[in-house]
Amino acid sequence: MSWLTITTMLFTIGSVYGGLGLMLGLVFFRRPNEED
Amino acid sequence: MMGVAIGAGNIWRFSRVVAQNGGGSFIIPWVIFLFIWSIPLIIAEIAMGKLTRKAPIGALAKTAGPRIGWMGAFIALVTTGILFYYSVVVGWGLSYFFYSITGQISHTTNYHSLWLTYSKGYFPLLAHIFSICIGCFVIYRGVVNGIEKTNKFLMPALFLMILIIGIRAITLPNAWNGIQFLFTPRFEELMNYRVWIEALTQNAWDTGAGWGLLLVYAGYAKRKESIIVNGCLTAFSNNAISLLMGMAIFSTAFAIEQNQGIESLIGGDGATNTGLTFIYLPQLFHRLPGNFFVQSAFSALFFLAFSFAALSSMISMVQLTAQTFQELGMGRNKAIGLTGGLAILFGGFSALNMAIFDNQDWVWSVGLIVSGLFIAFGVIRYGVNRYRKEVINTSPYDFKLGKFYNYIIKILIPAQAIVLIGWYFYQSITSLDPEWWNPFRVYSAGTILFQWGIAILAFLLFNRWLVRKTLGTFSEKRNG
Repeated sequence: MSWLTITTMLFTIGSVYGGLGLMLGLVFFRRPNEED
Repeated sequence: MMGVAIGAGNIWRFSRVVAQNGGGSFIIPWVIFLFIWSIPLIIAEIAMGKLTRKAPIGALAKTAGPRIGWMGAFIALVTTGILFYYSVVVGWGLSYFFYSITGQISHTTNYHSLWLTYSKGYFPLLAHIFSICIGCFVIYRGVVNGIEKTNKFLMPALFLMILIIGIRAITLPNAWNGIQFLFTPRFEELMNYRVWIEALTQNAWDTGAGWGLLLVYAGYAKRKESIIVNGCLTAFSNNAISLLMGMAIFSTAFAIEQNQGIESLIGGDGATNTGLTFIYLPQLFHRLPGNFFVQSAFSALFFLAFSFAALSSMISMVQLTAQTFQELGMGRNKAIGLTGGLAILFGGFSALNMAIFDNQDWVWSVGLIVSGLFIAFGVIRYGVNRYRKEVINTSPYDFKLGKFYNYIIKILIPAQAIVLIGWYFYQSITSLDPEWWNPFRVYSAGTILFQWGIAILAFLLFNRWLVRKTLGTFSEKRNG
């Protein structure tokens, strides 16, 4: 498998599933910030 | 909100568009547009819904001024145009559910033939009419909650099944070639305007950006409900499902075809390409562990969950169109009846003829670029900085958007829309298609100009009437 395929795979999966994980983390662990 | 966006776009359309546009060459712009098109627009749309609590015509007129109401009408038309053939896809899902419970899927060996026979008959028309009737009935009886409750069971089931088939697919022999196809870009294809247009429109299809659906949904949301986190979660989860489905479909397709005949699949148009999901998924179910009944049950449950996911998206489209008619002064029942009647009539052509289906998918999907541009224009007219501070950054459940958002809406979104549409028309007129002007060709520039042109002209002419009917006034005083 070429470096191009691996890079594209990491970029795509990292962006999509990384973003999803981050947002789920925010939903479950972030508390409302009333002073905002 | 995820229920509105997760539907046929992730399961059926993504694989089809990836196949037509070179796999990895398509995936890169598709991910880029998630960040610079879909997410900023979804945030703008949800905020606009919370600000105005109106369907697109009223929302744009209240945000950007009454002279801009026609842009909202165009957004509503694009989504209605998609509704007309989306119901056909819901019908395909319901038909394949029927095929699963009657054992036809498990007994068949030639799935290409099953799809071609099905798609060329009258069954898709009946299934389309049936799905529109369900959609209208749900809204007429006010049982949207019932559908949502059903989805609370079926959505997790769908996720679980997609995960199972994803794992099974990538463990098939030769499946790795499909994964390589999905993630290996070719630079010559990256220079093709169509790959970029399709990548943007598919991302908008996946996430619901620019459809006006999230705008209408947000109109019913609580004031304090999160805008940014909800918007991002909707976008990421939709793309995550699309990607997993893409891996499952291409692993299966390459494993089954063993690279022979795959050329006709990749880059092709027509019924075989359009029905990619319906040809390869049943073959994957056939390769799951378990006996005939287990495989049939899995297939039935998958197509049932698919149909419900697509149905809940379709219902929100029916709601958008009916609400637009209602805000124009029509009674509720008449508005629902008119929406259903128009959808049965115009969608009927797409159900019976794959060329019309492909034409409508092309015209109104590219229309989503213009819809997104119009939403950004509404925010620009309101004042992006003011919009960001007073409308978006208001929920205690959100992080705050910085000034970079102003530049995305003011510069990046208009630039993407103008460059892509300009690139498309320039290429069409100068080199690609000698009959680019012909409105009766499936993918010509002329068909887009003709259908958009008539709509925009009509909306411009009747703008004053549309806004006065929707808001009760044509005053320049804006919301906020």
